Amino acid sequence: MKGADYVLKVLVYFSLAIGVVIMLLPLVWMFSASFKPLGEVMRTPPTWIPLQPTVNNYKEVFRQVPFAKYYLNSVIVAIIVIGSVLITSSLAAYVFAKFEFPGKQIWFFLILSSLMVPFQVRMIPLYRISVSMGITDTLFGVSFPWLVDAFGIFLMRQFIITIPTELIEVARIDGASEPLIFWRVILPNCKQALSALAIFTFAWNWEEFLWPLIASNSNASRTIPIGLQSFAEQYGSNVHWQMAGAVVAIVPLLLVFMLLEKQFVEGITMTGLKG
Amino acid sequence: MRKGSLVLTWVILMSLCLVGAASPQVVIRHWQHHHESRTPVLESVAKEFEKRNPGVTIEFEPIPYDAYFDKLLTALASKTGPDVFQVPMGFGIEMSRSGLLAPVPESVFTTKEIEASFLPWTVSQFKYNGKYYGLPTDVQTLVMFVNDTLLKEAGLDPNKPPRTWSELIEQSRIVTKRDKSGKIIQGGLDTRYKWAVINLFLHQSINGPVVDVAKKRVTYGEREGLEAWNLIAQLMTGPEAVDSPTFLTGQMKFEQERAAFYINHPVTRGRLELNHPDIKWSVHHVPAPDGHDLSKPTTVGHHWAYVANAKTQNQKLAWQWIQFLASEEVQRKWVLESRDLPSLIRLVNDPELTPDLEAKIAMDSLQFARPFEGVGRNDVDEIRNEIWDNIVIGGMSVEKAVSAGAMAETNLIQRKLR
Amino acid sequence: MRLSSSQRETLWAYIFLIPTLVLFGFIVLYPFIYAFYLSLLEWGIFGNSTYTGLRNYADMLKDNLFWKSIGITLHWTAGVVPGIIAISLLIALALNIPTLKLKGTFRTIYFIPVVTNMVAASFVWRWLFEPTFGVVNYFLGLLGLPEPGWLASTKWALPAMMVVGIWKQIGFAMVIFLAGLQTIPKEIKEAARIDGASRWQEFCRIVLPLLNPTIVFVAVMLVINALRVFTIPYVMSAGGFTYGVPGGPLNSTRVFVIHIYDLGFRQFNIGYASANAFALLLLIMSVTIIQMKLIERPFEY
Repeated sequence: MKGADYVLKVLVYFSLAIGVVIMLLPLVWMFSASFKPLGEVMRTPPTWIPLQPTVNNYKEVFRQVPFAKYYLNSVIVAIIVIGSVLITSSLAAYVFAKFEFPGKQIWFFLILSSLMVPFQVRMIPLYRISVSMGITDTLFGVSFPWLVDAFGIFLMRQFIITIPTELIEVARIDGASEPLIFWRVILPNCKQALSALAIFTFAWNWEEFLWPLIASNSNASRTIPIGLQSFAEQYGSNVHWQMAGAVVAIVPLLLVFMLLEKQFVEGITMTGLKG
Repeated sequence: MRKGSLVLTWVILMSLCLVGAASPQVVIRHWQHHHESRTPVLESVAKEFEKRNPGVTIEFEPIPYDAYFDKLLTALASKTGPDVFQVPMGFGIEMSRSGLLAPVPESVFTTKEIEASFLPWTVSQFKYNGKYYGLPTDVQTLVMFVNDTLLKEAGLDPNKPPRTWSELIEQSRIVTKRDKSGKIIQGGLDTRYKWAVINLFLHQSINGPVVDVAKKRVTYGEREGLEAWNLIAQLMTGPEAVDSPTFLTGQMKFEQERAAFYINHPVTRGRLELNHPDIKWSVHHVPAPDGHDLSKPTTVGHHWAYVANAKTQNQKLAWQWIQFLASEEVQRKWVLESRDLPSLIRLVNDPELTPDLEAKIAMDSLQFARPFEGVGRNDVDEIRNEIWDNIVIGGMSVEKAVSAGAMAETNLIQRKLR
Repeated sequence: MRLSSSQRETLWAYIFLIPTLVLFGFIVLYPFIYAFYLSLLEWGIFGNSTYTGLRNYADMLKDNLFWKSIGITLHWTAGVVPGIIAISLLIALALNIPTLKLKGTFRTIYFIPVVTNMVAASFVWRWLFEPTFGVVNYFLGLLGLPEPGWLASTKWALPAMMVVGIWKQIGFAMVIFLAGLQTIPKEIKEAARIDGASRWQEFCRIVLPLLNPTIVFVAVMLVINALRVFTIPYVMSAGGFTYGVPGGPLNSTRVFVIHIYDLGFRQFNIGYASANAFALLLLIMSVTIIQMKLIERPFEY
């Protein structure tokens, strides 16, 4: 068996290595473009190591737009949205996974259907609501449409389904209240799913551009993607600045991912009862 | 209870974010698309206006260009738009008669004064029922950029660039190089800015209107228009094509010195100087159709306009602001700092605004310009682009492609101007 | 008042659901209703709206572009979703091998496309697929294969974009598969190994069934995302300085959401766009229902 194992191992490493190149190519380009002048960025064929390296782009990004403020806004919005999504998704998912009640299938589908209408169509009525609630140009207004996410509910449901029902029933027999069961039995057992959800929500919300643009009117509530997009102009794009900004913007995403992905590894064994 | 206090903090954070501020002054909200040189100009012009009009605040919001219409439309559709904003000339006809805009009040600027001050083609698309609904900004024409080095290499004289359509075809073909399999590896004409190529030829070849607004139809399906489309077919199809959609797809051919000729707006000079200083390029008037008067080569003029929202509370003030933006002192700033062209008649040929030969050519082209005709913007562009694609990629005959497109655009106009 | 156990269950279910349902009312339900109302109007933003009832829907069914967009979107879905699932499942399995080194590094690297700036990605992929000088055609040429026009060709533009779509989402599915693989108790796998099951049997009989909820989730989400894809085809055809049209060459990459966006925000035909949006909703809903019925297998845990 050893020989076949070895060949398999080599094959795996080799394929993974090729995959690495393909996965990383745009990131490498992005990083290298952030150190080039615009003329070189647009070169055909592209250069991978800058011929005329410069840190000017990074300076310009912070000079052209209040990038630090946008960064702070993005962070706050991300915290609001991630917090809201984790809470509402796990609560709702618990219900859909482990409870029986009239209307369950219908509610689940209604919620899922929220993913099925493109955002551009919901944009105008959402804007009207925001205006009438007076939350335009606020960070809450920017977070508003993302406070619940059907994707999160669906994801958590799939994971909570795999939690053995006995755990819950035992806790009920022991006299625990429903909220306590949720807090002590369910949540600890879906750490991987919560981490995954946190990462996805973060990644996707961090790059959200259209709604923050519509909902904001000043730097008080503008976020990073707006700053990056402002480098794309009528007669051409200042891609070099855009890439510098993108490099600065991707750092928290990678950090958070590297932090949380350990959760996927340290699995929690499902045998035995949890107290 | 650490998790609990985390949740509490998060709730407090959320509620603290409901910030708002009130302002006691008269506020004019001004939206325009962000541009690295125009935005600072507008900021300084706004400060100047506020100084001259105490009690007035200009709330300027620059919006990324790609999403400008998304944001503008959402605001207009929810009846909360800004007081002053800009629209491209293609919207002129529709918006002026839509009731969405407030016309210039006579007390600010009379119709006669407007017609005496501005180049006619820069205001004509915003006139309706004897009133004007927009004043020009972002004035551009089309000129031709030439790569002198490539011309010399091909044995041509860069001081004698093509001045007629025939010369354009001929010289482009000489510069075009192919590899063994017949693929283009160096182009004659960089046609990636299709809007420029299509509309230049159309507006040059057709003597009357390209879009007949009164009769609600387009005329480019007829004999004169077909000449323009046939030129495109000659340039883009067959074994002697001077460019191809598969040649450096999505890349900047002229800037990479892979194409000798490029039709674009004069403002491109700035980008070339800044980002590609090594290229030896020059600017010339666009080539005219054979047999036309070569001392006045027709070109296409395009502009945007500042307009006022009909729902604004301060119509007079909004128009005073717009008038200021289109005034001589501010137009000088636009021209000198953003490489726009002026729209005031008395600024054409102002020596301060034409420091070099290229600027002079750009300025002269103003006088040979006729306004771009099209009732709409993206929808019109897509129809005309589709004619192009049908001819170049789809292999359709020119007549068939053009008649389909002309019919589509005519239907569009009839739907809009009902 | 003593509630029966099922009444108690219903009560708590709704209590837990209330925050979600309230927020949904604002964020989803009201916009739906408003969008449906819009779909009954003819409204060009630049004019007044007129009530036209279901005429938008009738026009839609006669619109060639409508059918073409649906076809393109289904083509995209049929290509991208299986591609992602197959590749990311393999990668997740590989990265789950206990003795593999550098797992954390590989996981991060394979996730990077998900967070890579789309402008940067489109630059690189546009270059890789460039028909005259690009890398892909270079290798095809070496192998003696025909060199398609990729993004400039009506036949090959969509496949090029599909490659990018797969590239971008592999990390997403991989992460979920990894999380799902973690929920399979090690004891069960060891018990099977002791019982003499081969690796293939272990995979088919133990891993796959236990992974079912995860696979269902990934499949359903990928299909929903594929049916409503927008950013990748949009940026690759019309992004930045390309002077491109969002629908691609002769509308060959005009996925449904691009069609809706074009109708609403470029042609300013909002009522008609909303009608198309509801057609999309119906399409996605039907596909999702069918999908879930087909692949979800309840399992007693």
